[in-house]
Amino acid sequence: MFAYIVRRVLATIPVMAIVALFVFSLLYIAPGDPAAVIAGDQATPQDVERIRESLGLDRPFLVRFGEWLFRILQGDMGVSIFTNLPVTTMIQQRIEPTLSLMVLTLCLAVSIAVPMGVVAAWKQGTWIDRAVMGFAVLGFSVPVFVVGYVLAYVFALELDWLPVQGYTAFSNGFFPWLENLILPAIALGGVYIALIARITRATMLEVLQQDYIRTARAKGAGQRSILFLHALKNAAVPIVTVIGIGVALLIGGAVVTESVFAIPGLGRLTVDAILRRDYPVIQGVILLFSFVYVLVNLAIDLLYTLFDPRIRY
Amino acid sequence: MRRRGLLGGAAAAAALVRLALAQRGRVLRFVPQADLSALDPIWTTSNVTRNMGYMVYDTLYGSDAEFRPRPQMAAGHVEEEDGRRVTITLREGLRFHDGAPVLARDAAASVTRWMRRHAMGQKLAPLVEEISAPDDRRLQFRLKRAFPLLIEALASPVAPPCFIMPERLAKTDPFTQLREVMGSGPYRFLADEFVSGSGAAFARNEVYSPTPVAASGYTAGPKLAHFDRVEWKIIPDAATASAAMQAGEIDWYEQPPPEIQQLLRRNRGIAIEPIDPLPMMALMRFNHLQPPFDKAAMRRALLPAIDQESFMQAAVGTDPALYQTDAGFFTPGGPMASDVGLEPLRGPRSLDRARALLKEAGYTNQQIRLLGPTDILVPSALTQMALDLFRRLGVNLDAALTDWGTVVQRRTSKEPLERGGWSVSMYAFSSMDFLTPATNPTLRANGAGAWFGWPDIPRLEALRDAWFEAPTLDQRKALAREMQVLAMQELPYIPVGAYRSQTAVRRDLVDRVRGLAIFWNIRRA
Repeated sequence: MFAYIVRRVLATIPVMAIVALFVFSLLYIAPGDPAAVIAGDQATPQDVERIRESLGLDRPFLVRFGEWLFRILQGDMGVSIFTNLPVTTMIQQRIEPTLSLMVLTLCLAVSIAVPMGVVAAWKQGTWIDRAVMGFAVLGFSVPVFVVGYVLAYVFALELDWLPVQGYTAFSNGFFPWLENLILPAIALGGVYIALIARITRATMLEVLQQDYIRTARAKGAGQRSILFLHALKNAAVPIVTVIGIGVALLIGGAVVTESVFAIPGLGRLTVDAILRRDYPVIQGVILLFSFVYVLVNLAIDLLYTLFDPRIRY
Repeated sequence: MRRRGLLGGAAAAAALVRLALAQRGRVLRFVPQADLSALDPIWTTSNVTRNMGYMVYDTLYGSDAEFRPRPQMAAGHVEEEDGRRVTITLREGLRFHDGAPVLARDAAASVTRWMRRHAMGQKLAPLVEEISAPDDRRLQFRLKRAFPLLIEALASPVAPPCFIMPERLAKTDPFTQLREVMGSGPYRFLADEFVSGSGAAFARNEVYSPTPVAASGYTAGPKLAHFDRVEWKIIPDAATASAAMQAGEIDWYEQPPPEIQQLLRRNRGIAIEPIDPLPMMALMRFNHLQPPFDKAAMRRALLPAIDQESFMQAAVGTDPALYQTDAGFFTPGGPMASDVGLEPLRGPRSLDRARALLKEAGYTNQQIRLLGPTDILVPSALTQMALDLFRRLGVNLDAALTDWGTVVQRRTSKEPLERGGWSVSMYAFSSMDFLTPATNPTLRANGAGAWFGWPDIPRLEALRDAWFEAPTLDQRKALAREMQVLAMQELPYIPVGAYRSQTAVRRDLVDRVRGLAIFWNIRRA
């Protein structure tokens, strides 16, 4: 197992290198000029050129890529063109809100979606099943930003129960933290809940047809024990896989959710950096996201061994 | 149940409400027009950074409501040797936020750095023999010849204003961004609380010493900070900012878009008012290097089709109070504005006449590329109007509509259309930029050195030079009129109207200084 983990961690290096090259090339090809954005409308073309030179943007692709790669290997992601702050500092400033949002959404989604899927499978063909599947279709169909605006309108503007926007750090208390994050987590979680509930239902339906379930029933096992101990554990592998894949959904959704609720997280940082062509920040954030995604997949692979002892690495 | 009710019992809630109200009275929460990404107000000419600069830094002179320079950090100045030696004396007791005294050498270094980035500073720079500090309070300019607009230039609120910072910072190359914010203005920048893209916070500078010179208007007169703390919250989504404003989470939303203004007007606690008594300027810019608009006749051919009212209604809506037509090359209401030469923009509009003039000028269906943004409110609307206009004129149009980041890169291209160049583009500028020929970048006509579009009209440049040399306001006004007449013939660009940028503020906020998002004098009633 340990050797497997080491191998997988080492395998992330070529993956990250490919991502790095891809991101750098893409940004090089894409139109846009941070020097022109920085200079502002009062600047002359000469001013823009001067800023471009001072930022080193006039140097050849390979030179810039080589320098960037050299720095990355030393753990230095560079300095933001706009804020003049190290990219690592900017990521540190923004990582807590995004991490909080994703963890809360994940907890919320799993704790709602898995029981929903299990109950829908158990009550297949009934109104409960139809209601769960109807909710899943709705969750898939309504965009995150629409759900976000509706939630903000109802719970913040009309009822005045929760704030419209912003983020309060966890260190300022659990309830203020939760107050700011609950609406974004629900908005972001909609599609995730739908996805997990559908997969859980489909997998449970398959498992519930298995002989060992019939045997368990024949032995007089209770319904709850059959569903949650025997069936769910055997249905867990595809569910866990989908939860892992869904992390990518969450990263994408966080970009929109953070904009709607003005949460100063990595999603907003990414959008701002792209609009301004702040290359070091874009590169840093995308590298981080891809690294997180690789790690999540590794964690899921390891979780398989918990649910299915036949799996060995 | 109210929000605070969730947090505790009724008594606790009442206490919290009292506490929150007391705190609210001492804190001003503001949503700026864009993210405060850069903190060096000399390095960037972004208006957001300039507005932040006015909180943190002070200037030697301010500009009053009539655009006259009035002393701020300066106690006064003396001109000698026919204006070739100008000595400015600093007021006593000026201190930076770290407690260090503001010395003349700080001012000398700051002026030197500013001079390389500001339009008027760049005109001043070749005339400067030396900027020195004979002692701690006296700043001295030795000039090759008199520069009548020296004090006006030091007072100019056009980005970048001449902010005074410590010498150790001001010695930095103006093309290198400073990381430290250290000024002597009415508010202190709280560096620990700054997160780009999220927000910034400022605390009242308790030891600030306002100028004793009574003046009112843009950046002149005593700067009285009435809030303990000002918080800038970056909320890029207009609907979210509007909801936060309605929910009482923010006090001032600098630039709500027109549809949000309509929504906020329904709230009795919120006032929608012009941020600036003067309007912003909109224009159609030509690329003078590439056909077909390299010919003045081709540019003039469009004039009968330009309907300023339509452009302005597309930008800000149909309420006539929000826009102004008959706008020329200088900001209406400003000292240089006039209506001379604007006849071609008046009277009934005629597409047929424009088509005939295009043909007469030699238009043979060459491609015209309209370059414009889709993600910035007013320029997007102006671009859509231009798109419609060119389509109705029946020209061979290629619309290159993209995000602002791409527009600012593509507009630098001097190449022909087949190699990614452009023909025409739409822009909006702040009122202050167009107050005089000195700071209007789009009226420069010095060819390769001019603003994007690169018009080469030597006579216009000669008039601008003469404007700088003119010793009296009346002479400058006469030259500005002459420039406008010439500009209407040569058309470095076509003015397509002027509009008032609206701001949303809570009604209990009074005494706001009109012009910029400025945080002195404003207070809670």
